[in-house]
Amino acid sequence: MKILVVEDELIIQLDIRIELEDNGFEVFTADNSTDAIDIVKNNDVECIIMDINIKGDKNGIETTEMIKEIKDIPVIFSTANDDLLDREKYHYIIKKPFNIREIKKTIEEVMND
Amino acid sequence: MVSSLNDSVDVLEPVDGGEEFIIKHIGRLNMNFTQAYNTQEIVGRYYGAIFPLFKDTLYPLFRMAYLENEVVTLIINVYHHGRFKATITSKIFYENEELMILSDVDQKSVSSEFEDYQYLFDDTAELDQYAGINSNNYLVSYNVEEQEYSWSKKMYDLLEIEESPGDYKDNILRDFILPEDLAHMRKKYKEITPYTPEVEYNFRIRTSSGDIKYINCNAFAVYDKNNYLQKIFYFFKDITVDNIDSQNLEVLKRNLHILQKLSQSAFYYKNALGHYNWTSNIANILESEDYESSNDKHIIEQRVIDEDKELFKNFVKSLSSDNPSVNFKIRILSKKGNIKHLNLFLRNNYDEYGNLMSYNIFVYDITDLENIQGDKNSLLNAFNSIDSNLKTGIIYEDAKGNLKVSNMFRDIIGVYRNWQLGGREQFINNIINKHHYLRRYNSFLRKETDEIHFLIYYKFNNYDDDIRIFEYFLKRNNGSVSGYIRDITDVKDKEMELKKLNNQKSMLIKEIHHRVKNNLQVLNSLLNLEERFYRNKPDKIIDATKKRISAMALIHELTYNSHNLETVNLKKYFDVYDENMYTIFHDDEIVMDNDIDKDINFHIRTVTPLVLIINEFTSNSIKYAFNYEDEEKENVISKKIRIKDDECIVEYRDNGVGLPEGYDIHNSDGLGWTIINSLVRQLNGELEEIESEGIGFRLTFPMGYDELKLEEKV
Repeated sequence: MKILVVEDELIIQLDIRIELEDNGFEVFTADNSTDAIDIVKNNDVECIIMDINIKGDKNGIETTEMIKEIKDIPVIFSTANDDLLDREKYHYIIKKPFNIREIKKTIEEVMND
Repeated sequence: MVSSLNDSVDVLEPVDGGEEFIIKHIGRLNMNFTQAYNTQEIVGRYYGAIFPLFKDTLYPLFRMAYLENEVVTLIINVYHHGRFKATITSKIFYENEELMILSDVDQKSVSSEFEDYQYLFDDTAELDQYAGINSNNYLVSYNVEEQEYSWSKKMYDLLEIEESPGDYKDNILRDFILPEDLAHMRKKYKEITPYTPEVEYNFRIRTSSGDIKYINCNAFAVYDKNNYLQKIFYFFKDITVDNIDSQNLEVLKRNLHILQKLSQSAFYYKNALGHYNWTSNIANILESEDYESSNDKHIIEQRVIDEDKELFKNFVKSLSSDNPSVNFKIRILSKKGNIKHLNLFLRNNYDEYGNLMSYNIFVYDITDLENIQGDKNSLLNAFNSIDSNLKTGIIYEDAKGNLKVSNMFRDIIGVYRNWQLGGREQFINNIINKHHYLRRYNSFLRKETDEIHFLIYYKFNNYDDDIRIFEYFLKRNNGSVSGYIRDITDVKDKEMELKKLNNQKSMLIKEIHHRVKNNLQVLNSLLNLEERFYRNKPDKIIDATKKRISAMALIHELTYNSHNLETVNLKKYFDVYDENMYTIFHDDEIVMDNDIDKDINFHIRTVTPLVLIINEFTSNSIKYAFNYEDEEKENVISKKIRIKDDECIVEYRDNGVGLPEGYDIHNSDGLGWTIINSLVRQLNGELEEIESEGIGFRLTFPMGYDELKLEEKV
């Protein structure tokens, strides 16, 4: 299963990546909107873990909106700031600081949904 | 018939219906007066032509007798050189178409009817009995021949003097009579004759205590048989009370009533007993009970302050019968030493001859009014000075019910006359919310509401960016109106600025929370990484974690102390960081040598990866670089940070053992370098090795968006 991790804190990005790879996922990483969209366009990404505050002129929510126009891919937001999120629209949120085990668990929930 | 009449008979013939009387017979008595005439020349002529001096006196009597057919009696007293000689009694009557005048001369009849009074009132006891002990009558008799007076006991009471043995020789009254009344008295005295022995007149006396009394006098003269004046009896009556006419009394009562109500007022007046004295309120005004029953006319004058003394004298001098009253303000020093402002009304009352009869002084204490006026003036001044500072115009109703506005009110409605003159119409036209203003204002004018309070947005010179905001308030209270107009543009601007700052701060606090949570997640991830890497070396994990927590806690600490809550000064940070390292490692054998530009301030987002990188370098140097057993060698870690061409250049060196030969920092699979390379990438930076005694790295990274934004702010 292909997962895209969009996170501008590269230590966190590295942690998530290793954790997911250890659990058998194929992981793509990006720290900005443009790279994230490119990865989505060029790969069959099945789930996205998206930080809200990322590098570049578009934040995680805007990037997600753009990605949704390309592909309807489930998105899990990982953020320390969920104020900006529309809870009606986005159900899957992992609040920082999180336990790395939550990532895998939430991905499984998304996949089963 | 005529021949049978004696010589004292005159016979006249009325002509022209009584307009004239022709002499038909002249009596001897008349002949004595008309010796210059021949009797033959008199008969047949008009009576008035022969006796012109009598014409005016006698013709009315003749007509009365002729036309009314009455008997008229005429008595004539005859004096010679001022001395009475005789009395002529005439009877005038009309009979048989002739007017008859029968005259008789009787020199002895003059004083006979007064003989009984000759020895009356010889002593004062009789005088008192006659006058009446309990009445207001006083009696004096004067014996002309002996030149002696008899004074009744009550006379002494009237004059308020003690009886003296020699009083019978003195006119004890004379000295008490007001000099200006003496001429009038003498005139009346001259009217006394044996046939008009009684005269009445009024005069005034000043008693021993200084009171003025009005005296009514009935003088009665007694003559002897030869018409020599023997005695004069004087009946005096004190009419002082009666002298105050009823109208003046009413005015006085009314004034006194008002005076009782106004403690600030006092009145100097002549009371019902003829005494002058002050109303008791003068004691309040002069602030001393000493004056409660004062009769001293001059107590005000005595307390006038030096600066007003001349003024006071000039006003008093100006009084005359042509100018009987004057009203003026003066200041006095009260008994307690307070300055009092008084309004004085002086009024003199004069008789028809211009003689001063009485006077009044009306005092009104206007100290409070003057002070209020002073306060009011200072209040207004204060208004005008305060309102210009606060840009607040005051509208208020003055004591007379007129609406007044302060200078600043006029300036605002003007609006700010220096900027734009135009008055109210221009003012209204420039109001952006004009309809709202007019609706509220007119509602207030129509008294539909007693209070309006709203904001006026006023556009200057039709420029959209030149808008002032006025707060407008009007309140009607018990019919009076007060209010203000205030330029609150600056206040509103400051409010907006504060609101903006407040929002900014709220956002910053949220941002701080996010950063803390984010950095906790970074620490969490580092722990996860190390857990995987050093699975069997928990001590190593704990040690590294301690250092990272310390480094990141310091970031937050310095961020909170920064002016904008989002920047960290690098020099300050590493000075404290180095101290913390000493504390953590308990090692003072390492020298931290920093060369950091003191003006470098980085956003927390940039500082965090940079600090973590340096923290990794430092940890490695402390752990692996130095040979702590070599006491000769000084272990040095140096950091140099500069900004050049929008790039940050960080150089890190130590004088330790250095990296192993051929070690590739970019392709190392060790966790430390994995972390460092990730963080360098996060900074979009480049890491290279540089010349050094031990290890040497140069990290170059571009100033990020946050730093450039910070520079713009600066």
